Amino acid sequence: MAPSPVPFPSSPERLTVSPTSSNNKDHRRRRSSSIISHVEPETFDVKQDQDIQSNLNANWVHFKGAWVVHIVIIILLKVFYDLILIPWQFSTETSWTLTNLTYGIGSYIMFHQVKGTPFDFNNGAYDNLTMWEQIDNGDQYTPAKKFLMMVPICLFLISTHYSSYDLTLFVLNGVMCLCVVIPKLASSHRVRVTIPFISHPQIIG
Amino acid sequence: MSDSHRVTSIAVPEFVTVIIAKVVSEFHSSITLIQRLPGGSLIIRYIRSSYKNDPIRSLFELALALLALYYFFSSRYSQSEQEMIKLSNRDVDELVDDWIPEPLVPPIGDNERWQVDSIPVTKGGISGRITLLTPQGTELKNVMNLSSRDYLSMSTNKLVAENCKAVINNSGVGACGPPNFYGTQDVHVRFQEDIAGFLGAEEGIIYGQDFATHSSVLPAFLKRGDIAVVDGGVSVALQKAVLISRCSIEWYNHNDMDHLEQVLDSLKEELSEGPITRRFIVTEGLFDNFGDSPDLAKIVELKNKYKFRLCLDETNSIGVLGPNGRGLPEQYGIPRSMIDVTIGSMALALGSSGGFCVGCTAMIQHQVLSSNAYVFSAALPPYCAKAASTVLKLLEQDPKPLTKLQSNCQYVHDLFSKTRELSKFVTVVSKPYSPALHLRISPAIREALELPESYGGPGSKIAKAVKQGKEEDYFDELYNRESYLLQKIIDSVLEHGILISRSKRILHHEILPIVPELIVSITNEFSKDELKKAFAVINKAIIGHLKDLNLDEFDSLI
Repeated sequence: MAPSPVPFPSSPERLTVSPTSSNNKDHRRRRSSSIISHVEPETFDVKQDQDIQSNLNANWVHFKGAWVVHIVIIILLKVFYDLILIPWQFSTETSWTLTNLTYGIGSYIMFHQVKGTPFDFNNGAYDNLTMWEQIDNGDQYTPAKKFLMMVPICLFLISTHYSSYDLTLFVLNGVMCLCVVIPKLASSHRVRVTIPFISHPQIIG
Repeated sequence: MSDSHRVTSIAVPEFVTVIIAKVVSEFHSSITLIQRLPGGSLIIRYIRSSYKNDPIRSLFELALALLALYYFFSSRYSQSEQEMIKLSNRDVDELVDDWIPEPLVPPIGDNERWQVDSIPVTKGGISGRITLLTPQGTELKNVMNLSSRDYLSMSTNKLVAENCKAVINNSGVGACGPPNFYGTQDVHVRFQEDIAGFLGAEEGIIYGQDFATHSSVLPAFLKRGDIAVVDGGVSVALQKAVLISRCSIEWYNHNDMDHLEQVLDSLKEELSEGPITRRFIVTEGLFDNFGDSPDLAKIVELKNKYKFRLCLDETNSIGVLGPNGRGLPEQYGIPRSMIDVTIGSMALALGSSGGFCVGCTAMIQHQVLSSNAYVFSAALPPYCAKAASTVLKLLEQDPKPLTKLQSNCQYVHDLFSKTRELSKFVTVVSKPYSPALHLRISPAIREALELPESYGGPGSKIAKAVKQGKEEDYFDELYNRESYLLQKIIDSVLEHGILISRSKRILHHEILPIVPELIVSITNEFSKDELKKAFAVINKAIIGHLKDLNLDEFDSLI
């Protein structure tokens, strides 16, 4: 005797249950409206996609050239600002501040602002993570991260040494330095900050 | 005065002065020590010059420096490694020893054996009349072939064969590489132009295999976070395509436009904010699983209203629907430009092989570099492209084969659906315009046989087994038995020299619920008389098998 038929929830003409789990709203891109929120841990599927191929977007930071280029860029920036400021007779303070600000804003956009990868090799599995969070698969205190943390701090300390900032410039430089140092801390890993009325709610899942 | 003097002259306890003196001398000696260290004088000079009479600044810099030192000396830690289970070498060895590899192909169960034993072999070319070798070894001549999907019998057309021969003489049977890597030849480019011109699209692209076309085209556009609203009755090729693209999938009931609108409406609010995602409505022109078509006019209206793109799979409808065989949009009088992505196959009505996609230029050019099957798979053999091109030309010149096919379809559908006795036993699912006639055992009989409404699909045993990876649970006894019953009908029809078919779906590959069906494929080769005779035979066989079938008999089938 065959087992009595299971009462099926769906028929070909009418689906009462979705065949894929993505129909529940939690599965889709979720936005958080709170000021500080955490990016949710990856699901099994997303983790699998992250492991398909090593992350080309974040791996280059391990190359020696990628370390040296930070220093080269800073030196070039300083020389550039010194040169273009000659006609205006600006002080060294201004050129150091501009160097500091350019490096800070540039590295903030690159490491902490833009999310995802420019070229898609992992089916969008990194779409919610900044580049800093992608480096070393989110491990903390790795050599590359230590180096990248040292650069803005040293730049700030050196610049204060070689110039005599007035209070405004000191605060400007100090805030810029903090802006790139704080997101790099282990405790800010996967933390998203929404500024009410200014920025859109952050995607956290 | 004297009071204040007294206050200042209070003797400081001796130990305090000693400690202060000690601290000061230690401080000085430590500074000299730092100065002696390599780079030490640099640090002292740095602190001295950056102090600038502001202790708060110095404090800030000190804090930063300490933070840097703390960061530098922290040891590496990893979230994922903490979750990992550490196995000793012995554990690893034990696990390796315990591991027994599973067979690549699971053995066929006794009650599934009939599936293999019921496959006939054709001898010679495939046309309306074929020679068959039955699995029992007997040779059947002049069998009427009602299981061919070559609806316009173009694969046996003389001009097509001649053109193929010329191309084979010229460039052999293979394309020798992927399209972007020496695989594209003149005939491929010609076909791309021909199909785009035939369907009225800007440009076309050709694929080596039709089943792989869907799962290559859709993932080229849909990524994680994008949304596909999919008909709940699409073929397995489209199911796999949307699944593999990792997009969010919403399903609407098969051809239920009200439900589609409801789904689109519920998404509206969510889509109005946040980053812009790609949105597709995915449906078929002529459903592989049902033999019916959606209300295209309504879908186009909805997609424009809700700003979605439409992906239409015309695998079954190209060369079948519309006065000139240009698919469902032609039937509705809708220009092809309203359909953003059209996927199709050359393996059915076009009588060749391979798949294609047509649409606007940018959409096609995107696929050249980012569609997996186009980039990584071998190109279609050149003669197949030539064959398909020739068929398109023939269709443009003379729509007579098509008209005949369409009237045959209508005729057979009328025969099956208007016979009162037969309708007690089987239900015709397909519509009059479908060349594949889908017959299901009628709900009354299925209920009497205690068969479920459908097999597989969400929430079923099979779906659970697939989720858990339990291969031994993939077998469904009732599905097997119902399919076997249909095969018995096919076998008795074959005894009269007519070959029909049934839906052969692998339950654990389908994510949508299914019902086994008999499928009668109609081609333009047969006259109405022949079809009437075939109908009489099929009618008799169905009634013969289903009339006195009771539950006990059914259960003892296999």
